[in-house]
Amino acid sequence: MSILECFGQDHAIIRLQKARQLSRLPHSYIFYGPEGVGKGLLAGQWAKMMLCSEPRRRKLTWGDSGQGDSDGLFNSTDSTNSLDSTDSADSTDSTDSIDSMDSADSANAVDSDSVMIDDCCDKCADCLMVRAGTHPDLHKIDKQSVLHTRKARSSQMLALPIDVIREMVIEPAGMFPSRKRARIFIIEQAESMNIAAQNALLKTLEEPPANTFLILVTSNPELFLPTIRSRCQEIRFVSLPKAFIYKRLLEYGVEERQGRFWAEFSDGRFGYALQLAQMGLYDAKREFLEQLCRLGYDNALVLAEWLQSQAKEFGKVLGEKQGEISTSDADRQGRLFWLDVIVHVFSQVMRRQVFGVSGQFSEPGSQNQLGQPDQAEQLDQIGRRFDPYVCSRVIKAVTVSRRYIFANANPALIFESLMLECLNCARAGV
Amino acid sequence: MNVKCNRAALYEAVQLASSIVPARTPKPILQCAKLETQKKDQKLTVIATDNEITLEHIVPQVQVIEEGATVIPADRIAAILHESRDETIDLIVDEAACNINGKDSKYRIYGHDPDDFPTVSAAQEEICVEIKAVNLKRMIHHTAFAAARENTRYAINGVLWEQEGKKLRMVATDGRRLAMIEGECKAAKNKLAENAIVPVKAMTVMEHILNTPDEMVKIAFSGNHITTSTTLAKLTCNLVQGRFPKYTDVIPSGCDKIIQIDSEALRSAVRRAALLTNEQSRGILMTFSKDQLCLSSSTPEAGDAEINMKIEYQGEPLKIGFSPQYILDVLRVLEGPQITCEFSDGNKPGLIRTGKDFLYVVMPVTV
Amino acid sequence: MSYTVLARRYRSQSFDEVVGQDAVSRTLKNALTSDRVAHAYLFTGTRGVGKTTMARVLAKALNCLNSDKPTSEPCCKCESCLAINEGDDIDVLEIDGASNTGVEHIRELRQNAIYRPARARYKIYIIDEVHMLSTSAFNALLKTLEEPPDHVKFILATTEPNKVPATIHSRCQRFDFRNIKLDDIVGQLKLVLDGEKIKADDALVRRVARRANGSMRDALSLLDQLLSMADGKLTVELLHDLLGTPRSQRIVDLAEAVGKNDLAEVLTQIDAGLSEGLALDQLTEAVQNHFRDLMVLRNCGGDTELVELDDDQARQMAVEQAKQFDDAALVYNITVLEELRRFLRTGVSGRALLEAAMVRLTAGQRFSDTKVLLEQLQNLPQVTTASSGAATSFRQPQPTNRFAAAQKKTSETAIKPDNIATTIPKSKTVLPSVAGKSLTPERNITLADLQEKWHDILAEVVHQGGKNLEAYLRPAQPTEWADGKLSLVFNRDEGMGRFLLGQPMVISEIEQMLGKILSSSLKLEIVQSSTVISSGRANGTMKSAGSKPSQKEINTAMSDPKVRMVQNVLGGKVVRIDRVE
Repeated sequence: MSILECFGQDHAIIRLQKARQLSRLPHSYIFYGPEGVGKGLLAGQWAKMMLCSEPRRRKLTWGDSGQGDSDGLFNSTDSTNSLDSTDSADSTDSTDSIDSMDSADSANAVDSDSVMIDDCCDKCADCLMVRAGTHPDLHKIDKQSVLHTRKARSSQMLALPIDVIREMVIEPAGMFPSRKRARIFIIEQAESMNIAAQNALLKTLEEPPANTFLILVTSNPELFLPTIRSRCQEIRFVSLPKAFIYKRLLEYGVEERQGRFWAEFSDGRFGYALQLAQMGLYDAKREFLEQLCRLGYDNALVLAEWLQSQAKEFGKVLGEKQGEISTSDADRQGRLFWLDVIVHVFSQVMRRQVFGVSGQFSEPGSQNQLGQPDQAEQLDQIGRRFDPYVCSRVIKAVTVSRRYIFANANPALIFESLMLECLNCARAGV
Repeated sequence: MNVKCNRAALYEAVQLASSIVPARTPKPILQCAKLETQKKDQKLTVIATDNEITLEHIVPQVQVIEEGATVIPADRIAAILHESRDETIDLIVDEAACNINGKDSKYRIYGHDPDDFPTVSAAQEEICVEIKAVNLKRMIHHTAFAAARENTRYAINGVLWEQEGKKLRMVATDGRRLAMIEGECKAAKNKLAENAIVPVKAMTVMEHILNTPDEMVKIAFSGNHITTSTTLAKLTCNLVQGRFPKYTDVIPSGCDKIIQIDSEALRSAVRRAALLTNEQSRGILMTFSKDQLCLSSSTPEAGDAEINMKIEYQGEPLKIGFSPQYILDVLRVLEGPQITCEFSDGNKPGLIRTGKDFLYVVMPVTV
Repeated sequence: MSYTVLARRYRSQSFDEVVGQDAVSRTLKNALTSDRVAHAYLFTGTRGVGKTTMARVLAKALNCLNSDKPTSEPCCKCESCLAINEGDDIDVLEIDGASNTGVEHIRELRQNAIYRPARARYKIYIIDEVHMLSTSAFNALLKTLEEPPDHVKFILATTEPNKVPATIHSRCQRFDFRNIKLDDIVGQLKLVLDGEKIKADDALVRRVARRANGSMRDALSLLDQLLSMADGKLTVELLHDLLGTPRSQRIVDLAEAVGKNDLAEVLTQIDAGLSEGLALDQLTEAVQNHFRDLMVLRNCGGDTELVELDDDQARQMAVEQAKQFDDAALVYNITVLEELRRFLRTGVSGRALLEAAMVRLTAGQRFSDTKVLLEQLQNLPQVTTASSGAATSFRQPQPTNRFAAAQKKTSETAIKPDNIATTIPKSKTVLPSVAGKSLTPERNITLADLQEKWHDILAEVVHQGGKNLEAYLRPAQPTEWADGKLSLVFNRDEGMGRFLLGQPMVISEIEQMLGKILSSSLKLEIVQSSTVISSGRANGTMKSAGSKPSQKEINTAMSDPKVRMVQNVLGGKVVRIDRVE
């Protein structure tokens, strides 16, 4: 593993590298962005590079398409002098760099190609220890860490309590690193730190000892105290290109048609796409769409009940997969998933009407398109009853349902009212 | 790996190793000890670490048949060795597991990949100081107790080590008292870096490995670590970050009231006076007058106490309050029958000395 | 390798350096020179305005070793001052109120307070984030705070003074740190930039300062991030890149598309923006702010200072754009986007939400201006009779791009009649015979209109602040509308009708509200239906009451002049005939 495998997050990588090259690396970072786009991955790989005893220079190039929009940063800086420091390094590598494929057409793509990054060697003792998860200077903290505090508590806690932060961050931060280079703390799901924990971390975040680095990884930085955010530099992670997710899903042995759908569905979150694809939900989704075509007063409630049972099923599968998750949380995830499905369907229906059946974009987003959506016929059939405006109303209704789910409303009623709302919005059967 | 070794010797090494194995850790490999053999030197080494402190202990009396390494849970092997009655045992490591064979017993323990075992920096340390084990032990004993615990100012959670020519000095403080001791040492050509702060936990482990009073302990220093080596054991430990307070500012000078006190009698008196202190009134008041020391304490709504003891004192009368715990702490570690107390006035820190190498500063309290 | 952030490196060292808190500095200096330093201070203010900095300066002033008494000019060179700067002085204890919340921590503090300072004049406790202390911890602190030993000073700092009990407040001298003024921040940023020998655009510095919202640390932290991104001159572009905020042009284009009701363009713009790597929330916020600017421009004139725009050209464009919207639409847009932002904040991956919301803004004018719709309704018959040719242009275009096309055609006019024009006739082909009875219903509002637009009328009721009234009306169905009398039928199963009958006050309130919306006074008649009425209003059909209509009835209906007009003018087709009792 190396930094080059954090695909699609060039912007983030370039920012980190740039700060390093300018010797302006801050002590505290917040990595934020959607779930499953590689935040934790990059945090880990970045730490690996920082700890590596023989980091090497290499080109920032990807092994496949989707170069995309990476160069926004270098576009805007004065590109002639922005990278002078890398020139000397040119000779040292070049064997390592994977040949760049279809590079984008504009001039700034050339810039992006010449971006040199530091990467770990993946060979030294430090790299081996990081890979084995035993490096003494790399501290990864997540919700499970609570099991290992002095006052060990159950893992069913939703929040990351203060003792974890105290014992696993604040205390070890006071020691010199074991292997000289740096001491790095990565806090996963950092937004789940409770208020006390966040407050406790403030001092360390603001004035950590030398060579101590903290990375808070989160999908929702809004849950941080403003005092936390103002002490950190924030790095945003973007959604991954669908084509990339599709390709990776195939590598994981997902069937082609399913892969295409989940890639489309996941909104650029590879982790999510993979999880869903491996849960075997595709057939259920097909059936749902079939049912939705025939939505009427006679079957709305039946469909709602079906959704509810599917959500339970989802929860069950998830529980088996993850073990650590509580039943109610798993069920909730299931309900949220089905709401996502509904949103996805109507958003597709909306787009197909707005852009015509072909669904072709002529705009820059086109490379993000995977051709005809799954079950296009059904989508069009639904489209005959739901015009774009009405689709948007359904999508809004779903957001309301989502809020009900978080407020622990009766789950059966949530789907019922949602289906009836759909029906209310729909034009009479064709 | 294939090695035959003395059970008792191995047990001792493993036991020491388990003393630093962390009770709870997200990294299971830390709860293991690494056993490593070298054929050339006929050496079996037991290694354990909690990522801050690493202990390498050589097991004497071994016969190495085949080189190799294994990483197995420390508590498991300690328990096996503890229960065993054998004189010698065989450790044979195959691909998947470590076999521990006795006369009538066979254990097979699954372990981790030895390459994954965390190691501290492999850089060569330069020896700075050599000191007699018994002296080092005494110095640790006289300072470690005074360091702060879990303070957010990292620096005072450890003990400062300083070298000045042939003297090694250790200082510990928690902000309200300070202990300092100096000891003779043999200086090597490298100097101990300034501001080397050793965590208290490492110092307590260190005490355990200093069992041969007359051997010379080698202390090496390399930026972030300090390494203490005896014949058998080698303890490497990360230093504490931060700046140690400038302790010379804290040590009072110009104390004009110097009093010799019998330490055993003082201990008894302080303990008795402390019986009537509570959370609100933590201090005891020491009133020095001619040849007389009166210790008093009082607790509102509970009562008060007064203990009188004879001393030799000719100076002006003096009233000063102290926390009894801090006095008792220092009396516990001292060996001599007499201590010397020095004061200037009731608001200034008090100084306790024994011999010419130890001093203890304690802040007075308002009683 | 190690880098100290600007906020730490440029922490102010003396009273005069602390930016934007002159009043506090002056008072404290006076207290020091006149030897009237209180034993406890409470510093309040938002993050990054200088509370901790001021506390450290005060501690230095009290304890500076280069002076034999407290001084207003600490030397910043002596051992004590240096240690305080680092936050690890032995006599100045910085306690993190957040991690030491319990009563036991305060007890410990109290016990420690009795020890005299080791080398300096005072033992100073700086308790940061003091609002995090538990109630019992506060109580434990009270006594010490009231009568501390002479050698002890307390400085409490908090961002949330309202969470600090009054008993604490009254024992401290309180200083409220103001948010730092924009110009002060700009000045300090420029100082820092000079210190770092970095050039920056003036516009960028102002933008950074504005984003900081009065917090110096936020500003410096943002500047830090910018510095770590480029080694050349700092530009506004860089800031956009950093924050994922959209360029102004993207937002103007998007709003333009919304104004023109061009759905395809709206979605394309969003797509382009997101694939450029814009953050959803930033995009939403920017669009929302843009609509706010348009609203202000519409109402305050083109040269108002309430709107900050990049240059005159942008202002000119915005003024032009503002003409495309009416106030109601802008208010609606802002509301919808605000709601969206709230959702995005809960961590939902919200691309679909954003698109849906923008579609609602685009196609959603039918909600915001019922009055205009009704005016349109009134004009409709004339239009259709006057020139049937013009009216035919409202005929449904090809379904594939019906929306975009229909809206493009009508977008030139400021108000958009397309919704009524297209929706009413196509979904309601046969008007109930009741409407036929009085062929010229008052003010041309027909029962059919009411039934069709009932949803929107209710929405308007909510819009006008009648949320509770809307709740009454939701289960109702308008069934009769003649001579200013409106009959509302309530489903038998709904208790609402019966309830309303006993509430004349409420009824008259509803009458007023509906009257206002329909611009005609009206009387309500509440009818408790004996049968179950389907709630399928949105289908535009009512379940047939009774048997199938006879051929004669069908003929009557077909020859109804209104039906024929619908057929001729709008190309309607008779799909079904329902009889209304």
